Amino acid sequence: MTVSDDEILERVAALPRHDAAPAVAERIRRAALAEFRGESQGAPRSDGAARPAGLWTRFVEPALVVASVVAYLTWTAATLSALHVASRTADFGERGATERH
Amino acid sequence: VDRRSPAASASETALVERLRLGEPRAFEEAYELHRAGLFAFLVRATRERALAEELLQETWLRFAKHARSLAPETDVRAWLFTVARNLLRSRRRRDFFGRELLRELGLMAGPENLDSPFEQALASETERRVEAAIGRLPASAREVVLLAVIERLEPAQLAAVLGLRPEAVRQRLARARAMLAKLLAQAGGPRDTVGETP
Repeated sequence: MTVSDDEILERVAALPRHDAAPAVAERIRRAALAEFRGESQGAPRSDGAARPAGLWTRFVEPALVVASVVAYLTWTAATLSALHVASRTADFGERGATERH
Repeated sequence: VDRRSPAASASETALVERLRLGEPRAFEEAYELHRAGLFAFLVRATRERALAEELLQETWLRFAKHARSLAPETDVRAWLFTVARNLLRSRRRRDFFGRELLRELGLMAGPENLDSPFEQALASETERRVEAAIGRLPASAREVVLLAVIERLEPAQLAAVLGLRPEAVRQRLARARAMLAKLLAQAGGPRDTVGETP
């Protein structure tokens, strides 16, 4: 199916084009160009080269999260184990005292 | 299949190379070349000027951010339309319930008329009916009509933008055309032949 041999598609193709208001188009151009210039002033890029920001997000942040989770789980396990030992010791103490009486 | 002429392909490659080198003039050329088409697509796809402008800005900011790391063989037009379409889809997903609910409650107007009063006066009855029919198409059908028929993207560009195989693009366009014909027939009444499928 091509546009030129189809009456409906031809009518669609003939619709006028809406354009952004000139002030809006200019504002967007300036903002995007400023972003482009800002990016261009950074370190020159090469394909596949990781930038420091990429290194931080890809490796350092996940490592920190994993380390925090491991530390938290270790602490939780140690605390629960200590509480368990303490409760058993207290239980034995109570039983001993009852038996002595 | 890239059906662009060798000259157009060479000029595109040169433009991408200059973008990769960070040439502001190249960025301005790309902006001039593709701004109008992108906006025309976004405004008809969203039916809201303000939203279309917002998405246009976001698309160009993304382009500005990634222009220096484009692959040398990048098709800039396809890249821009892909980003614009993805932004639009993600905005639709995010806003669906909010907008629908607001419209249900009568707190938000329906799709706006995109023309100024002057343009409305000039527009023919046929144009108005075709616009209205496009507006009533489902989003996926509307986007393929806009990209293929109004923006005249090449088959390879269409496939890249829509993330489909060329055959699937053709099928989607045929379905969209059939829906459009039906809508036009409903709008035009029995004497109108525009909606008849040939």
